Amino acid sequence: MKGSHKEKEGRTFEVIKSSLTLPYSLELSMALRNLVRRKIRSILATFGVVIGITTMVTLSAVSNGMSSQMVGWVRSFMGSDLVVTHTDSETFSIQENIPEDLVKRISSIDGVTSLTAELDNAATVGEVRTLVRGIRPVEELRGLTLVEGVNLLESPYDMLVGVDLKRECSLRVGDTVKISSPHSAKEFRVVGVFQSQSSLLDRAVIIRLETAQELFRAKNLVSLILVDVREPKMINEIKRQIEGLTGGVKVIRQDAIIKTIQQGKDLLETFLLSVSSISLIIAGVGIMNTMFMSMVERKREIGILKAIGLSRTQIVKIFLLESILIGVFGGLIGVLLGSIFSKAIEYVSLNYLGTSLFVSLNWGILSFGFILALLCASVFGLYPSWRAASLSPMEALRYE
Amino acid sequence: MNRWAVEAYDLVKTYGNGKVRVYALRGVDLKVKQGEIVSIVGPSGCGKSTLLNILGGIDKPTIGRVFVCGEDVTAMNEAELAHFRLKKIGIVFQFFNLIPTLTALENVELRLAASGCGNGVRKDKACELLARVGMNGKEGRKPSELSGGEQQRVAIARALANNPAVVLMDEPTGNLDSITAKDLITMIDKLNAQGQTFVIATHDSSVKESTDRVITMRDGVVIDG
Ligand SMILES: Nc1ncnc2c1ncn2[C@@H]1O[C@H](COP(=O)(O)OP(=O)(O)O)[C@@H](O)[C@H]1O
Ligand SMILES: [Mg+2]
Repeated sequence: MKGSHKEKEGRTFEVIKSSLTLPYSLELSMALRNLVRRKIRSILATFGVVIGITTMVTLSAVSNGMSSQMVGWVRSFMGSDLVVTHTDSETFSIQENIPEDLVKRISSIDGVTSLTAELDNAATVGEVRTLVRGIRPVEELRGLTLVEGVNLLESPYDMLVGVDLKRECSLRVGDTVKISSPHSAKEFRVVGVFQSQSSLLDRAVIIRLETAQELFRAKNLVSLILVDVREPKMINEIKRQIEGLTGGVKVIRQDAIIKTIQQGKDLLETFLLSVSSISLIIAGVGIMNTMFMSMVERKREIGILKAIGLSRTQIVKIFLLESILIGVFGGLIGVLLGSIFSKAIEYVSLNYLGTSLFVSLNWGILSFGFILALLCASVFGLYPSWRAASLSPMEALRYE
Repeated sequence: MNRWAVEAYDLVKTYGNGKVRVYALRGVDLKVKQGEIVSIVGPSGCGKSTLLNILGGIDKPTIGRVFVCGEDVTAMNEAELAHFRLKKIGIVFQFFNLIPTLTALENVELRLAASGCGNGVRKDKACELLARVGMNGKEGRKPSELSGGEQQRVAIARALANNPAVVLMDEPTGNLDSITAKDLITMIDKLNAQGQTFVIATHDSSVKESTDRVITMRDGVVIDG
């Protein structure tokens, strides 16, 4: 009773003191120091995780970018029920062209309500190599929204630029920019800025069809014709009629394209999942190996931990923390490298390959990668940790 | 409360199985009073370490029972044994007592932390324990930066953490570079004032002479004491 005042004072002091001490755990510093002590081995185990997570993040970013680009591409045709192209044309290559007179012949088919003809090709706009699309009629911009300026109604050398291209080249309405194709070069005036649902189009230029035909030396040719039909049930009949008009063209239903893309995306995702899981399993086995080696080397230490009274769970925690730390470091570096690689792929694709692959990096992919690294490290670290903690104290102490 | 800190009845310990069987203990009976300081002497290989390990709940006897403060150690399961070692027993081995990655202070703290002692109090307690074995000023050193004798002092401080009923020491003065018998005796006399029981395996005659009782072993049996 006598000491109670003093005791209370002491307790208050303790509370203040413990609130001042940084939250630090013995187990954590033990795990960290053990990793540092066996630098090479820890680095190798971490490296395994880094490879796995980098692969995962890069592949996800690229495949997500590709599929959203594909869907965006299709969305930019939205509103058209049928697409007519050359039989050899692939969705993503620069198109083989078809004769322009087909446009007139299709428009005379009963049930066809509207038609747009397009000519796509790559050209250099200012300094940037990108897609240039000629369209007709210009009055109706399919799937595009004009966010600034006016439509292409006046001069043949007017152009619309996508929002991304505008930003990239710091363009303004009224600016004059040179567009050069392998055949010719012309000055164009920016009259408007548009936004689409495709990252590819947002970086493209739209001009009049006749001007594009002149620029690309493609007189009387178009890449594709977008056809709208009065009633959905007429789609198949009109498709057959168009195919009957001439050989060398294929007619694709809008819904069929979307389905194909969906299938491609699923396939890509399966592939991605298997590549990532294989590399993560390899990383996990690496961690497991490291942890087993650590257990064998530290048998005596485990014996001491047991002898001084640490429980099995407490010892599991000490070892598990070590492999979780490998996961944390590997995950962080992997996510970082994955972001750098995917951006590099985008950069090379845009600037050296003349293609336009936009990767899609987002917090979802990054945090998923990090969590996966942690999960992999914990799962594969658990068994060796459990084995270490299950050694009998005598068995562990005998080892010297 | 039970007046015996340690009771062992008919302890037999054999190693190996089948044809080749080594008898480390061949029927040891032993009782140690609370607060008593006992030394166990005998030639190398007579079973001193085996006996200490069994008393400390680190090893299991093949036959026989051990009670510490009246509790049947031989009947405990793994979790109970860990808790028993944490709370009731302090143990000091001959070599390699410390966790190499932790400092002197952290080695002591680890045992306090394992019994749920909070961060702030823990540090103070560990400092105080290290001061009791004359290690103040060296709290932040790693085992590799301490001499063999200093490492043993830290191990003794750690053994005293959680205020165990029984402290077991296995040849603490046995080698070169270990704590001197004189230092050990002074330290134990001081620590014993708290009522702790000490069981020390030794072949150092000066340690032996300064304990309350000497138990002599030979070939796995107690022959005297
Ligand atoms: N793990 C073991 N396997 C086989 N024999 C052992 C083992 N541990 C100890 N022994 C034997 O048991 C006997 C007692 O050993 P120990 O208790 O270490 O004696 P002391 O500590 O008195 O030198 C010795 O003959 C020793 O060889
Ligand atoms: Mg021995």
